Amino acid sequence: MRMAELGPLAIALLVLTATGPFSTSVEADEPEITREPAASVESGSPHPLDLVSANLSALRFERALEDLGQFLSSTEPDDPERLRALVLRSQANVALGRFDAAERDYREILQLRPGFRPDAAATPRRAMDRFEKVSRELVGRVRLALVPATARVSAGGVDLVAETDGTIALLAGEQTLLIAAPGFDAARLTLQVPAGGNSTEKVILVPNARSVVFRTEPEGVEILVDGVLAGTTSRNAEAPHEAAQLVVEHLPLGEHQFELRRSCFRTERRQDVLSADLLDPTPRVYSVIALVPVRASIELTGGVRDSEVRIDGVSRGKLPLSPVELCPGEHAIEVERGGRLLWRSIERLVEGEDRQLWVTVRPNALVLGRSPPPEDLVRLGEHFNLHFHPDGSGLAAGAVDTWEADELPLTFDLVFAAEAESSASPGGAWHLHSPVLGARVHGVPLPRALGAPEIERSLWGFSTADSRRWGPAVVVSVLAGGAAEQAGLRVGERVVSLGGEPVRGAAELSRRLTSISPAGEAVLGIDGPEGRRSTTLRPTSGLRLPAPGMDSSQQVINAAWLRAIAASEPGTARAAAALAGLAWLLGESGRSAAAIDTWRRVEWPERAGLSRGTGQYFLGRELQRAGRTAEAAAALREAASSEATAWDDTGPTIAPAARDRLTDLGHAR
Amino acid sequence: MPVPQSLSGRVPPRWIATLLSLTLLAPSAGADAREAEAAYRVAQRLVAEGSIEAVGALEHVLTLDPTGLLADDAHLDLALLNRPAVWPEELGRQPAEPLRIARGLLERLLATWPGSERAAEARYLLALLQLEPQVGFDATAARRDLIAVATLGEGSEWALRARYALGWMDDVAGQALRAEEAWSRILVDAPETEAATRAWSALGRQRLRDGEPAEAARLLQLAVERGAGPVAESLRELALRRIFAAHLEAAPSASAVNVDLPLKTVSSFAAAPDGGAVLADRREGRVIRVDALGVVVEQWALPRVDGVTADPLGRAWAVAGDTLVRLAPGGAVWPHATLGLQGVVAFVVDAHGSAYLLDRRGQRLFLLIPGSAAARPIGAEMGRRFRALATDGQQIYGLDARAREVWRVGVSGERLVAADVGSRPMAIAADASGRIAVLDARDGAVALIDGQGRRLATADVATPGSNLLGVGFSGDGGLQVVEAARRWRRWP
Repeated sequence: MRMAELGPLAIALLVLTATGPFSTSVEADEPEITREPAASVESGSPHPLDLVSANLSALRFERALEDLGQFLSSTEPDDPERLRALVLRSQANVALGRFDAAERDYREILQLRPGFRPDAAATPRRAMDRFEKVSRELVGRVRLALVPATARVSAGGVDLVAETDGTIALLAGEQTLLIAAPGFDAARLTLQVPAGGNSTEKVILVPNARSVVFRTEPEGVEILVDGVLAGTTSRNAEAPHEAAQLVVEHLPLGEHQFELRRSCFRTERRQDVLSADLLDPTPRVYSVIALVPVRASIELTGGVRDSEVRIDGVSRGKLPLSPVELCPGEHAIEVERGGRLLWRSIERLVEGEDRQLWVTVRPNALVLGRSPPPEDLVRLGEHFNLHFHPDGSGLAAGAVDTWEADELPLTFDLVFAAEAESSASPGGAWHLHSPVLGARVHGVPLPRALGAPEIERSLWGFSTADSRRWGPAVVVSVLAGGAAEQAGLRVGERVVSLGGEPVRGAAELSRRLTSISPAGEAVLGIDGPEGRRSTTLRPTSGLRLPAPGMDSSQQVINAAWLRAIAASEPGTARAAAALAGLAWLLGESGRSAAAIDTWRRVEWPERAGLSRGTGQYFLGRELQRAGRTAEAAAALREAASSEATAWDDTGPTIAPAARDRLTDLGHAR
Repeated sequence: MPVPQSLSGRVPPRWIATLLSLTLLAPSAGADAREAEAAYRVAQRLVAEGSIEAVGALEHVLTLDPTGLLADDAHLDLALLNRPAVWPEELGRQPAEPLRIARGLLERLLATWPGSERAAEARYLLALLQLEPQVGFDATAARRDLIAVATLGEGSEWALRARYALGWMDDVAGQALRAEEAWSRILVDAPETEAATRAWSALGRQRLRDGEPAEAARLLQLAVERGAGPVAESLRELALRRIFAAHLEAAPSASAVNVDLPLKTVSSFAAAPDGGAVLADRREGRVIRVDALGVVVEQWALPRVDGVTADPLGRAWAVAGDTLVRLAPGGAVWPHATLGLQGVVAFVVDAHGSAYLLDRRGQRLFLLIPGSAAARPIGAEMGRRFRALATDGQQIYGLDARAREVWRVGVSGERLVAADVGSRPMAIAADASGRIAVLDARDGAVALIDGQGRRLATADVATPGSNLLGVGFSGDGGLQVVEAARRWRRWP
């Protein structure tokens, strides 16, 4: 069947087929197609060319032509739309047998797209002849032989695609093509295209980059090129025995630094100068780089024996922890006991390092609030196990006034809330909340003393006094069996130096000796009847309670420490002293019931100095304050018969003070 | 505002006028509380500045609002301007009149505003006023008030002071254990307070007396470190002296302070705790006080002065005829009491201001309690004749020169301490640690014995031609002697 003999309906169907993407779903028997102005496109109406397609499908060719004429004259369509409109018009003209007009359309179409060709199966012979004639007049064909073959060809910013025979249709005359490919310098090709002719051109692009292939053992190695992560090597699932590899494509020619890194392996660094090889454009494949495994170790001592040690969330043993091998890098170390976090630290280990860490029990503190000063956070982190409240950023200034203790997890020993800087508190301020004491301190700078109160003290076994006649720091007593006696110190001698530094008086000597931990020692310079000598004293360990007279901030901080120590080291003398200190603070905070309960929970080991009698005295005092006189008397009687001391192991004796309280209660001696 | 009957006879004329004016103005004056408040602020400032206008300013407050919120404060502040003792060790340092005014104000405050915030302070001050060694001395009432303050508001400053004062009273009265209990309680309950500092010192003094010089030195060192004054320092020195047992042999004559006194003769001598001494010249009717270097710092004209003494608090006393007088600062002589006996041979005064006196024959001991009309005999006539008395602050010792014996004397009778104390014992002294010094005029030596009569040491204190008259201890245990030829010597 010849196309020219096709009926109008068949033509319309062909138009629909030919215009494909431009077609609409308008049905053929629709009685009327509304014409919409071009502006209606913007309001969501069908595109004018879609209406044209629909009219063509409905065999309303005249209307389609009318619309196309209006579209092409009244608007300024871009090239793709203009091309589409011209194609539709050529089809309409062909359908109406207006071949001259169709030929004019073909000319315009080929100017826009030299490679255009009507669908021969849907175009009548006569029309195709007209097209072929025009094509021979306007278009020539060029076959491009490209190196690399994947190079992209464009003209006037429009990509040109080779046809199935490998040629590219171009308008006759001088044409300039741009040929480009990744990793190559782009090239321009200017050529004379003969109308209706064929020619062949060869273009070889000059490489300006090169791909490289890294191969590693093991896999999962990160490759950094000039400091930028390029990727990670991986093994080919189909060749699992081959080295893992990563292809980094089109690296610019020149010198490059490569870093290959993986946790637990020594980082490797390489350097290479990449050059182009016109004869061999394949990637440069490096030989397999085998990373060397590396280790560091960590050892934990101190803390509470048998506490569990977790490293990066995995249990690794108990305290004291023998050296454990770890990969270099950052590790989270946590020590727990009975569900309580005693100590936490983030440690960054370097290759080959054997790090020894001393664990100390620390309180768990919750931090919330707005914009805590970084330097304050560093200080807090040095003393506390910090936890950050997830909702803390929303704490408004002053909102701490409305805190409810039960809103905060009671597992925390202390809460720090930062208040943003404001006119009321330039430089910001902190609010401290003690869940233990039920006390709050508002709007203060971060206290200077954040460390643990001293509940242990060195016992040196001697005392000194100053004398106008015999000079400063005269030894007035030496405790039998104490450190001083063992070191040969005698009454009447004078301490003239400590640690090589002169001693100016008994008070100074006492202060300096107090600052030496029970694990330390003191080298004393002695002036005695036989002249000057020096002797070394190693103290014994004693206990002390936090001194009274501290401000409210210090009370809150001390309470956190004491609670942490008491909870972490049950059964020890330290825990007893800590709990006693906490009970005393509770009493000072007016929490009499809690103080009484806490004093009753103190379990003193058998010892001299601070001991059960101490606790019974303060328990009696709290009971007396609470008006529970019978219970108070019972506790005070026990204190009165003890040899316990107050405040520290060499402090004032408890018994006479207890007797005085009993007298107040009407109990005769 | 009606003037309380009990006060009307005690206040000075100006104060009476003020009270009367308040009485007349009372119905309208109470209306302007705000003006009174402003006036009180002014008065507070003047008090702090030590201005002489302070009294008038406080009186003005009461004029404006006699029964207002600040009236109790004004009363108390007025009382304080009369400088009553605020610690027991400060007793006896003020003349009677201002103390009487202070007492009247405090009594009125407590009667009118018993619930005042400053009632505890007022009651405490009133208790100390009742302990002043003068008319109105009432240890029983004082003790009652102190207990009331100490047992209410535990932990308050005034409760602590009251407890300290109770200990002090107990200690003076010989109730050492009870004193120790009160002071220990302060150390346990409030170790960082001034009361605790004083308690450390007081306990150190007790340990010294108990023969525990090492513990005493430790406690006194703690007291000194906390700001205790020169008395504690002297006691610490004494404790060290006892530890070293080097009191005299380490004190060559060359190191002694030798002072020729500006007196024609010395008839009576008493060493003072501060290292100085009080000396009398009966013939001249003159008493002087020298400091530790022998410089005259006070002098008094006192005709017929029979004897002088210094009590444990350093206050100077004298007996002239049948009168006991306080030798007050500035050359003032405050009559203390009429003794009712003549020719007192020797006497000592304790910290309360109670005087123990030997009659002219040295055979009977009399006690004069402050405020009482006359001295009353203690017990019956003693079976021996004492020439001299001494006290260590707790015990009283008598020297029977003829028998060459030292006895402990007092309300519980006599007990022999030591016999054969020198060939011609002339005088005795005792220090706070219980050491007794016996001056032997013939041998020119001082024998040191302890409370059990054990001889500790003997020191040669004579110089050529010396006529030794008296012996004494400085507060730090240093020895003093005086010669009739007006030479005073003190060893460090």
